[in-house]
Amino acid sequence: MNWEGKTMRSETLSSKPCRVCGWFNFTLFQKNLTRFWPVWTLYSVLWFLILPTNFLTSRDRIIRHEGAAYYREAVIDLIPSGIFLSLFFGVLAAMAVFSYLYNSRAAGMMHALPIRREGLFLTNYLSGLCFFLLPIGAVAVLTLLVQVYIGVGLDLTALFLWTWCQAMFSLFFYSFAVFCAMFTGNIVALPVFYGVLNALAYGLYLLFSAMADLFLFGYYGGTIGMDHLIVWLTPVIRLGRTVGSSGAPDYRLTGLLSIFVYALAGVVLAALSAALYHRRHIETAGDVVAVSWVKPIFKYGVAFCSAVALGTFFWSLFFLASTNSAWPLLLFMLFTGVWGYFVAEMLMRKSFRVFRKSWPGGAAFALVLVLAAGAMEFDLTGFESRVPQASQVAEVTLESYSLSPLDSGGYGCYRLNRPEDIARVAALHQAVVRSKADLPDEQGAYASWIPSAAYPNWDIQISGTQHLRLTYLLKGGGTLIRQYWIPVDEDLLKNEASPAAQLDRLINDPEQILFQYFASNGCQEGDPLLSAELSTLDGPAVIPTDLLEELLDAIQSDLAEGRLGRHYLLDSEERYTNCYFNDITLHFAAAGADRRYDYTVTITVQSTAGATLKVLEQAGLTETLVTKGDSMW
Amino acid sequence: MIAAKHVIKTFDGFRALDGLTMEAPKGSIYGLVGPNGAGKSTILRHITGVYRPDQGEVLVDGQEVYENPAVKARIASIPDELYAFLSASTRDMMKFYRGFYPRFDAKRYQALKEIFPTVDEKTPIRRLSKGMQKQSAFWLALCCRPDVLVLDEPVDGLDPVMRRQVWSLLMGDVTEYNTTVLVSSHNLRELEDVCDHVGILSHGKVLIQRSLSDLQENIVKMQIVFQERELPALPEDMEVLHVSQVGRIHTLIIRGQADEVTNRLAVYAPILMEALPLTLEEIFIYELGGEDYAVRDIVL
Repeated sequence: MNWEGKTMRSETLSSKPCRVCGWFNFTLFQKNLTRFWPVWTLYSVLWFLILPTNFLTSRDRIIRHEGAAYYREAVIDLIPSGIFLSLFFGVLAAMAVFSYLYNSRAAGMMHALPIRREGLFLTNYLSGLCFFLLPIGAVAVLTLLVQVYIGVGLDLTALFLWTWCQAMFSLFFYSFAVFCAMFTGNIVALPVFYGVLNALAYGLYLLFSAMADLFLFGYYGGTIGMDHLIVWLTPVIRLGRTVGSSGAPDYRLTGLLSIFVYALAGVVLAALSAALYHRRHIETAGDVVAVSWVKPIFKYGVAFCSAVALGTFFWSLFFLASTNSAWPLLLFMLFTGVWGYFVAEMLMRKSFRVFRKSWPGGAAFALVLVLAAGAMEFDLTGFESRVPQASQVAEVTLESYSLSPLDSGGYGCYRLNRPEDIARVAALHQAVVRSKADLPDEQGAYASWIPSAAYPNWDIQISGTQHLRLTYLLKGGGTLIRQYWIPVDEDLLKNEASPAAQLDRLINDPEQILFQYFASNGCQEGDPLLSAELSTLDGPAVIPTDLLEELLDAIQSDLAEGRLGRHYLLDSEERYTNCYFNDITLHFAAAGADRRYDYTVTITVQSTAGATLKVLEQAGLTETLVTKGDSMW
Repeated sequence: MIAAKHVIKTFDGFRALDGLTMEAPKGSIYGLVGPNGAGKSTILRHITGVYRPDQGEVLVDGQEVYENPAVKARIASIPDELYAFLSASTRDMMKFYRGFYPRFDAKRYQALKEIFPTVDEKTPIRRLSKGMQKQSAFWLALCCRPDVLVLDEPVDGLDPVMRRQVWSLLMGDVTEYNTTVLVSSHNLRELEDVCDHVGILSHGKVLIQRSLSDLQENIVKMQIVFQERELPALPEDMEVLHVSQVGRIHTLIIRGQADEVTNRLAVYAPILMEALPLTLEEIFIYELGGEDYAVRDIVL
C-alpha cells in the first residue's frame, strides 16, 4: 500500500483535516475547556462576586466617601484570599484534566491517540492552567470596566498586582497538584497526597519534634534550626504569613519575594511533572502509588507518621498521667507504626492479604523504630549529655518564665555574655544533666500546695517545677538549645549544688535584676522619668514629681544591692511575706530621634527595699503598703 | 506490517509477556487466540502504543509504535473495554477523533450512519447498550481510515446480523485498502471464518503462528477402527497430541499432513480409517494440551 498516496486521498475526503502534531493538540485543549467547565466557571463566579460585584455594590460609598483609594485598599486586601482559592481549585483542575490517568479504559484510549506523551501532558497542563488564567483576565477586565463605570478614577497598579498575584498563586498550586497527580493512579488519593504534601514539611517537623521531645532529655523543638526552611516548604503558611498589605498610608503589597519564588517553583514542578509523565507506566491506573521508587517511601512514611502521631495519641490517652517512661510509648508506636505499614501495603496491593508477603518489611520497620528509640533514650548520640564548654560559648540566653512576682523583672529572659556568667550557666546545665533521673518530663509534675499558716487567704507552694531553656550561641557560629523542667522545693533550694538553687542564684544576681528591669525593657540611660505611681488597694497613688528622681535612685540602689527585685521559683511563704501587693510603675519617655515613644517599668515593692520604702514614706504612701499575703489578690 | 520482537512486560513481578514474538503480514486478518491471561490484551496495548515494553520492540512497517504519533495516526483500535467521555455522543467523539487522526473521513462517517441505524449519534455513548456502544466504536474506528485495525474481542455484544455486517465492512477494507486487522477473540469459530493468519498465545509467548490453512494442514484428526479392540503401538516419531476411544473407534489427533499420516497408519491394516480436518477450536485445544492447558475430565 502506498502510504503517502493514501494520506493525500483521505485528506480530500475529510471535511476538516488535521495534522499529526505530537506536542500539542487543540482539539483536546478545547475538549478540556468544554468538559470541565464547572471548575473554571465556579472559580470565575467566586472572583466575580469578590471583586467587580463588590465594587458595584459599594458604588455609593466609593463615590461619596472613599474615592479611588478604596480600590487600592480593597484589591490589595483581597489578594491573599487568592492563596486559598488557588489551593482548592488547583487540585480540582489537576483532578479534572488528568482524570484519565486514574481509569484504565480512559488511560488506554488517551494513550492510543497519535500524540506524544509530552504533547498530552502539555495540552492537558495548559488547558488546566487556562481554567485560572482566563477567568483571572476576564475578572480583571470586568473590574476595570466597573471602575470606569463608577467614575471616580482607576487604580491600574493594584489591579495589575492582583492579576499577577492570582496568576502566580494558581501557577504554583496548580503545578503542585499536577506534580502530585503524577505520583498516583487513584483520583481519591490525589487530593490526599496534595493535602499531605502541602503540609508535609511542617507535619514531619512536628512529628519528629513530638518523638524527640518524648525520648530526648532536654530536646527543644527549635534545636534542629529548620524553622525558616520548614515554613518555606509549607507554601500556605509562608504565603499566608507574608502576602498582605503594608497598611495605611502606603498600602503596598508585601510578600512579593515569596510569590515570585513559589511561581518559579511552580515552573520547576511542571517540568518535573512532564518528566514523570514521560516515564509513567499507564498500567498503574487505579494504583494508589504509580511510581515504583515512591512505593517504599510511601509505605515507610505512612508507618512513621502512624507510629508518631497515633502512637503518641494513644499513649497520651492511657499513660500520660501515670508515667513519664518512654517505653510504654514505644510499645504504642510499634503497634501503630506496624499497623500503618500494613495499611499502606493494603492500599498499594489493593488487597487485605498482605501479611504473608510483606511481614519482613513490617518487622524491619519495627526493628529500626526500636533501635532509633533506644538510641535516643540511651543517648547513644551524646545529645543529652552535651554541655558546651564555657570557652566555646559567645553568649547564652537563659529563659525561665514561671517566676514570681510577675513584674517587669519577672519575664525571665537573661542574655549573658561575660565568661563568668557563661560558666555559671554551664555549671547549672551540668547539674541538670547529672540529675536527669530526678527531673520531671512535664510541667507541674511535682507541684504541690498546702494552706498557709500565716496567711489564711492563700495556699503556699512547697514544691513545683521550673521551666528552663538555655540557648547557647557558640563561637563557631552554631546554636545549641536545650529545654528542661527542673524540680524546685525548699530542700533543693537549700542545697547549693542542686539545679534549683543554681538557677535561683542566677536569676537573683543583682546585676541581672537591674538589667531585667531596665535594659531588657528598652530603657536607656538618660531617658527622662515622666511620672510614677504606686498601686494600692484603693487605686493608683501618684508619687509627687519632686520625689521622682530620688525614687529612681532609691530603686536602682536597692536593685543593685539585691534588696529589691528578688524573684522566687516557688510561691512560698517568704514570697508572700517579702513581696507587697503594691507595684511602683515608672513612666519613661524614650530619648533620641529614633525612639519617640513612652514606656513603663513596673516593680513590685519588697519589704527589704529600704531606700525605696524611705522615699515612699516621704510621699506619705507607706500606709497603703500591704504584703501579698495580707492582700486578697 | 506488524511485528513484535521478543517483547517482555512485567506487572508487579508478574511476567505478562515473556519474550513474545509475532508478525502479522500486511493486508492480513490476524487472529490472536489464547487462554485467559495469556497476554492477548497486553500485546494489543503494546501494538496501539499504550504500553511501553520492558524489553523488545513493537513495530509497524518497521517503525517503533511507542511515542511515534506518525505511526499511531495509522492505527485505530477497539479495546475490550470501551471508553467515551462522560455524556459524549458518537458525534462528539467523532469531532474529537477528527482532531487527532489526519485521515479521519467525515464523508465515511455520514455513509456509515446507514450501516449503524440503531445508534443515535446524538445520544451519549454511555447511555447506549453494550452492543450499540460496540457499533459506535466500529463506526468511529473505520472513519479513521486506519492501515492497522487492532480489535480486542470486537464483536462481543453484537447480534448475529450486526456481526456479519461488521466483519463484512472489515473485510471490505482489507480488500480495498489493504488494511491489516489484528483481532483477539475467544470466539474461534468466528475467527476461523475471517482470519487468514492465526497466532496462539500461552503464558506470554506465541506458541504457533501460521496461516490458518497451514495450521489446519499440519494437524489431522484420524478416526480408525482396527481388527483388535486395543490401539496398536504407533511409531515413536509420530507426534500424537491426543487419543480417545469410543467403542472400537479410536480418535487420534496427530501432527502432520493428512496424506502422510494416512499412509503411515495404513500399515496397521485398519478396518476403517478417515482423516478429518480440525476446526480452529480443536487446534487451539490440542495445541494447548501440551502447554498444560488441556480440557480435563473433572469429577466433582
